[in-house]
Amino acid sequence: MNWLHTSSIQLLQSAAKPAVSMAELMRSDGRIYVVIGVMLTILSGITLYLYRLDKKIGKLEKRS
Amino acid sequence: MSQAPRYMHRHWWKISGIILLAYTIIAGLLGPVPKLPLLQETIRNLYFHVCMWFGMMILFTVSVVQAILYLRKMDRRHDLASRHFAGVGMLYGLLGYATGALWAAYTWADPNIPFAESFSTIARDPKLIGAAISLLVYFAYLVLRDSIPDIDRRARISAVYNIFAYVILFPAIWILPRVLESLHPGQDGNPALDVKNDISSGMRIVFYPAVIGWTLLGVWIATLRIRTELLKEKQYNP
Repeated sequence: MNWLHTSSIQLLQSAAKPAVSMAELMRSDGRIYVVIGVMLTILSGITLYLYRLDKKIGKLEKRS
Repeated sequence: MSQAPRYMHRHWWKISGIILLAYTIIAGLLGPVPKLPLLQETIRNLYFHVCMWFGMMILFTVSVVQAILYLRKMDRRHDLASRHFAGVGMLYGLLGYATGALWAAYTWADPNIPFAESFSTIARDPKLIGAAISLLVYFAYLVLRDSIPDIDRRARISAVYNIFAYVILFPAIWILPRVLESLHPGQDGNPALDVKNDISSGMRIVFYPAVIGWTLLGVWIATLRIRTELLKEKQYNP
C-alpha cells in the first residue's frame, strides 16, 4: 500500500503545480505547431499518394 | 504512339516542389507578418489563396503554349498537355474561389448586418465576377472539347478555343478589375495585389517560393494525367 500512497502524493503534488515544462513546443504560441503538424501530415499524404501513382504509371509505361 | 516527354519522369522538380510547400507551411505559419486591423492572422492566406490564382495563371499559360505548339506541329502530346494543364488550372481556380469566399466571409462581411446583405455587396465585386467569367469560359472549353467525337478535329478546335479563352483572361481578370472599384486588395495598377508595396519583405521570401511550390505540384498532377492518357491511347491503338 505504501507505493500507492507515495504515488497519490506525487499526483497531488503535480496537480498543485501545473507548470512542469517539458517538451512544451506543441502547446506554445497558441498551439500553432499543431496546425503546422496537421498541414504537413496532409501534404505528406498527398505526396505519398502522387508518388505511388507516379510509380504505378511508370511501371505501366515500361510494360507497354 | 508517342512517348511521354522525358521531364515527366524526372524526380528533382517534384521533390523541390514538395520541399517548397513544406517550407511554405512552416515559414508561412511561423514567419513574421505585419499586424493589420481586420486582416490579423488571415494575412497568412496570401501563401495559400493567392498562390492558387498565380498557379492557375501559370498553368493556363502553359496550356495555351501547348495549344499553339499543337497547331504548329500537330503532335497529340501537345493536345493532351494543353487539355490537362488547363484542367489543373481550373482546379486551382475553383480552390482559389472557395478559399477567397471563406476569407471574404471573415474580413469583408460586416458582422453587424445580416450576411445576405453584405453578400450582395461582395458578390458584385468586379474581381469576383471577372474571375467567375474566366472560369466559366474554361468550363466551356471542356464542354466544347468533349462534344467533338473526332480526335483530330477535337484537338484542333479546342486548341483554337484555348487561345480565345486565354485572351478572355486579360480583360476579365487583368484589365477590368483595375478600372473598377473593388474591395479586393490591389487597386491602381495591379489586379490582385501589389507585391512590392502591399506585403512586407518577410512575406515575400515565403510568397515567391510558395507560388513555385504550388505550381510544381499542379504540374506534377497534370503530367500524371497526361501520362495516363498516353498509356490509354497506346492500349487502344498499339
